[in-house]
Amino acid sequence: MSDRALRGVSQVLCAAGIGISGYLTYVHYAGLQPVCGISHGCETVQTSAYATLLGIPVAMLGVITYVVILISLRLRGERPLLTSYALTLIAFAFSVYLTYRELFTIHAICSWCVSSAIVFTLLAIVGSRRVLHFNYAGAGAAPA
Amino acid sequence: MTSRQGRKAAAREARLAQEAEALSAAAARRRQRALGGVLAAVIVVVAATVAISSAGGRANAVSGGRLNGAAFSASLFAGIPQHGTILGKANAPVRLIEFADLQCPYCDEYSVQALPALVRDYVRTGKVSMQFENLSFIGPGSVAAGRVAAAAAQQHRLWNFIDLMYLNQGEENSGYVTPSYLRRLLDAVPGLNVPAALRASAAPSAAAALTQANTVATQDGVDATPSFLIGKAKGPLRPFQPSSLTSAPFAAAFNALLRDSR
Repeated sequence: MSDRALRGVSQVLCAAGIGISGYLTYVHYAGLQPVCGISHGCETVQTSAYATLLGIPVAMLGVITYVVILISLRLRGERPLLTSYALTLIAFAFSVYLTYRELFTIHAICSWCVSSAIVFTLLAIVGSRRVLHFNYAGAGAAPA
Repeated sequence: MTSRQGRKAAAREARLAQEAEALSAAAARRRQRALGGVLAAVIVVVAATVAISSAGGRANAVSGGRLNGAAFSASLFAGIPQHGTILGKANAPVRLIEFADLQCPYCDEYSVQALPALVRDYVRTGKVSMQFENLSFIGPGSVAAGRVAAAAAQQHRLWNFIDLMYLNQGEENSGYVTPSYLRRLLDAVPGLNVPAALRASAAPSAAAALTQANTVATQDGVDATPSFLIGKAKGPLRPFQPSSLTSAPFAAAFNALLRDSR
């Protein structure tokens, strides 16, 4: 798959992530209960102490992360690539940590949060492939 | 001549091959440096973020930290009539009585998982009224919280208080139900006269309310929490054992009773 196609996939994933995190940010500030499907744990997770970081809703941090990754995907060159990859890895690792907290500390599963974790996992996979095939001697990604 | 040209071409090819190899090696080193830098930055940021999040998780209301769900709870009950231990309109066609201990983890599960949707869909719409009978058998913390809940009920703010209690519940009988913890919950209840509530919680009437709830539970054969009685407003109530502490089984029971009421 070409770098252009991989960037396209990443952009679609970011759009999905913005939708998920944006919804959770909206229900947080609107004081609503998130629609939760079969897991029924969204409210428990969203009102837990792990739903905020330094007073900022984690969902909002997710929106910001997705948007920054999306912007860096639109830029060419090594620096934007590595920036988006670093952000993706940070978000992926943090979503693994939050999923651990859901399972073993909060004892509830938020399907929206799991969906976002899956999106970050896919972004990390696509990002790894892009970074490994990037032509560091030249100015762009080598076609795969 | 041909031989000399051949040697020159071979030398040029060898030089080009060496240059390509050097470029390739430089690119590999550059890639390693770049990825090493990215991974180091990622490790540092993730470690810091996880440390901050873990500290925040420990610093909840129980340990004197942030109170969970105050805004959510306030909006959940805003505008819904409360009278003593009852939430909802007096003419609601269906009634639900809940027997619960404020330290009980399963009561917490019901309150956090099921209650918000039930309040939104059935109580706010005037279809169901809910009554809270506060049992206090788990330990001293249950009694202390129960007395404050009774005081909140006197000001018709019981449901706000118990919801905050469940949203911030700690380990049962771990000593977290301190006067300062209860004070913080009361401070987050909209429209509550906190000094009056604190005075009322120390009065005999608060203890009498707990005794009364225990008496009602004994009369109704309740021996576990949470327990529920459900029925039409103008009819007998029957024990209800939900298949799970989510909103779905309660909603199904409410819908069945509401259909019969028409």
